[in-house]
Amino acid sequence: MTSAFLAGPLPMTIDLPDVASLTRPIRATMRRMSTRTVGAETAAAGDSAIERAGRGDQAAFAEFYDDVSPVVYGTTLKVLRNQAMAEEVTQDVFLELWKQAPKYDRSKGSPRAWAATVAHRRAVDRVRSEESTRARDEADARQGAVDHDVVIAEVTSNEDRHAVLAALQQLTDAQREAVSLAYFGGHTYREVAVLLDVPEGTIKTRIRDGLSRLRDLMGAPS
Amino acid sequence: MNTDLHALSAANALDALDADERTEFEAHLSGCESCGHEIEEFTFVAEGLAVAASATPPAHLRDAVMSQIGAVEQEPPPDAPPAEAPQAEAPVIDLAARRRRKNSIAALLSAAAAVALLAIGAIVISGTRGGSGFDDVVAAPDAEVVELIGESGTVEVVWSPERDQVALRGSGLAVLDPTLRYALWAIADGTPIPAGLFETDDGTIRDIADLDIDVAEAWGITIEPATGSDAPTTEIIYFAEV
Repeated sequence: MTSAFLAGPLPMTIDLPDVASLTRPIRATMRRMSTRTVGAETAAAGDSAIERAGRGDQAAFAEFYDDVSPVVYGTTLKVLRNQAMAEEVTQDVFLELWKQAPKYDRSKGSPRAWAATVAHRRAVDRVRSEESTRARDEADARQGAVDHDVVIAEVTSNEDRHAVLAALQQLTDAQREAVSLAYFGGHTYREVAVLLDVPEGTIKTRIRDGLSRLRDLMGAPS
Repeated sequence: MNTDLHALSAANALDALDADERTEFEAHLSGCESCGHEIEEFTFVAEGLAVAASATPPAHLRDAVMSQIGAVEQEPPPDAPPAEAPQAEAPVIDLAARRRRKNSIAALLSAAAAVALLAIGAIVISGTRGGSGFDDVVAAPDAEVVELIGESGTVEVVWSPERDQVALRGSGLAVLDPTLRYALWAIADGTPIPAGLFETDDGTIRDIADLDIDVAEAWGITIEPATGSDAPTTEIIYFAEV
């Protein structure tokens, strides 16, 4: 079974590193991901853009927007599969991030991680409350969670993204499918179990094993 | 430890729990250290998935967001610093507290003055600078009039920044012990600035004082020794914000 996730936006000609050399570059890249603050040149001692934005600095928030908006927009777009909705939710997410900026705590994660968390939660809440959910679920079940045709203006191409996609390739098809349906499909694990006609416990395990494997490959902070 | 709940930490990181499960799980989280560690790792992975989905947003979104944040009030930071610390040197008038307090004029008068309060004494106009000087201040084009509120009588402050003078008009005021004066204060940035000493023999005041300040946020009157004070030593008995 082809990788459901990769069948979408990723061109098949992309040159992924071979398995043996995979682990090291991915770890190094992802470690940078974990400690990176928005505006990578910011020294650890300096305030990130979001921290300055938390003191009312609108120009700093614009910097933060420039750094994380592709992640926010891309995530909402992938989950919602509707550009107008994704634009709306993206705006809502950034207004929320502005509002909560004074409460941002760098010890809890990078600015980008925080933005991604808020964005994903909002997108999922939105998709679960939409009328079209049922049709979406049925489509997912029929097509085995292959990405629908979504007009993505421009897929950002960067090291981190490739590193994650490479890591995803290392999962078993079953794990990757469960993780994709949950994260990008916006389904609860129970819904995934129903969609795939597989016991809930099995899905829980696949998701857990899949994330654990990704964690190992991505060099999660210990 | 509930193994079932633990198994949910990965699903939780993907927002793949329904509302009830999420509530249950978050309740469990607060007491479970190993879960907390796992959550961190799985959140890191979820960030990676989000990054994998990156897509450049349409340009107009940036303008839309930046034009809207001005109208959105930010939450206070978790450890909001206390209100501006009082200056060590000069007493600070807490305008907010002042608004809440009621002052009893009787409490502030000396025993001798309390007797004088009831006296309908001979009217001796002390040699103050009332008269034309007073009228000039009141008639000044930039005169700012503020009525002060207190427990007895009425007090009005008229300030002319251009003339560097302030006029005080009052009636129905208590007559003070001869060793005391009514002290007028101009308050700026919570700091009271001396704005003249005044006395009355019959409960009225019609007098002026020199005052060189740029801004007055409020006016207050206290009772001070006849020789004056650098800062109020007693409670404010008449007050108004500009």
